[in-house]
Amino acid sequence: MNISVNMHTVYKPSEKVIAKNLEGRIMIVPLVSGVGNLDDELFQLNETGSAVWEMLDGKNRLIDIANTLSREYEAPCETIERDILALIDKLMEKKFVIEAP
Amino acid sequence: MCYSNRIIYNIDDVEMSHQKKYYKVADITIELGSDYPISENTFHPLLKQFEVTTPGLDMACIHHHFSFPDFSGNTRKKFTEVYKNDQFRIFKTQTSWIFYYTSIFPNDLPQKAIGIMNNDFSSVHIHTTDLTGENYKNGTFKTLTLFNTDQMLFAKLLCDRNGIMVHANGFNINGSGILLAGISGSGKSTLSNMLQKPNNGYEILCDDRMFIRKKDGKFWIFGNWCYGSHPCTSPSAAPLKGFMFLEKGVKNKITEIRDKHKIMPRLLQVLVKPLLDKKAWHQYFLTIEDMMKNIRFYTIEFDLSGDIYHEINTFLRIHK
Repeated sequence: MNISVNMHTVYKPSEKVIAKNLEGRIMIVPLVSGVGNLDDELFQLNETGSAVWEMLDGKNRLIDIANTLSREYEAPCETIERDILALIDKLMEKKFVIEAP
Repeated sequence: MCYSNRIIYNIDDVEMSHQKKYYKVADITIELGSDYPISENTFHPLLKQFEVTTPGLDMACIHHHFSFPDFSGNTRKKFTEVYKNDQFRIFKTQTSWIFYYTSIFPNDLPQKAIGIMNNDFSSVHIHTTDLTGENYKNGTFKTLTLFNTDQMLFAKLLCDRNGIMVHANGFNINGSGILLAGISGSGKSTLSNMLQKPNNGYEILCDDRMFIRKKDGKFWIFGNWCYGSHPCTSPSAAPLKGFMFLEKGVKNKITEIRDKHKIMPRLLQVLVKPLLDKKAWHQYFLTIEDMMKNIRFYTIEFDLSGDIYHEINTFLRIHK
């Protein structure tokens, strides 16, 4: 796990991707110099991942997202936090998200 | 008309021939011109069935040149590389796409080509230096771009026209279209060979590369010449009645996939990814969204008896 992912940090989608909600799931296309890479796969997030992505607006801290989803899904906050950290770690690794200033 | 967006480069262009040929696929007419005379043998007989005699309402133009453009000095500095593999290096400028193509087969002609496309690929200039008039005349080229495939051209043209390209075999069955989609090794060829019998009304439109495009409010499938392994092509088209994903099974069965979340991962696997910028990807996603709303998706399983033919016929009777 990338130890720099922090629940009190705000993250947002990178400009090096394009993302679209298709039938409730977020599809992500990595871009190279503004163009979709022919060799890269298209990524699809699952339901929870898509819900998290939709809340990465550059204003919500991850802890805020976790609290909201914990209420919506009626799931323990600790579980949601763990899932969010793992997701953001992967998205950071792929450079799909960045820390918001 | 088609030269108005031509990139400016420092050579004298003298068109040695005013011949034009026209090819139509997915309701797009490609005007083909060349600095060498085009003969009946310049292009492969497979392309002949797509030939039409006049321009159409929706056009893209390709012109073949037999010298390389001069990208010296400041012009070259404006290129941004966007893709590279064994055969292509692709660059983007503000107004053009530049394709550097190298064949991986030493006996191919041309070995190298440079393609210059405007932003929407409506104007395409292909430059080669290893073709003489004689070997161009007898080239039997299987592509209009002289690259190993025209699929990059069509993937972009289709995207701008509410269309996509998929890894699927397409059939026109007495005026109804079905797609048999799957990755390599999924059984597309086996199933397609089973279905193609003389006079049974099953016409294969293309092997492994099908064009889908919205037309008159419905999605249609179009034959084309960008085939995968088997040279099965047809200029025909048909309204799409079923998009079927091949699945391993022991019975002959066609099952509708009702859960849209189960469709998307399968669809992603069979999309032929286009080379698009951000704006074009937005359009591409809109087309995918439209397809998800308006096309029915199925899984199709089959055994080797050939009885799947009857299942498909029954399916088409129900979904006329």
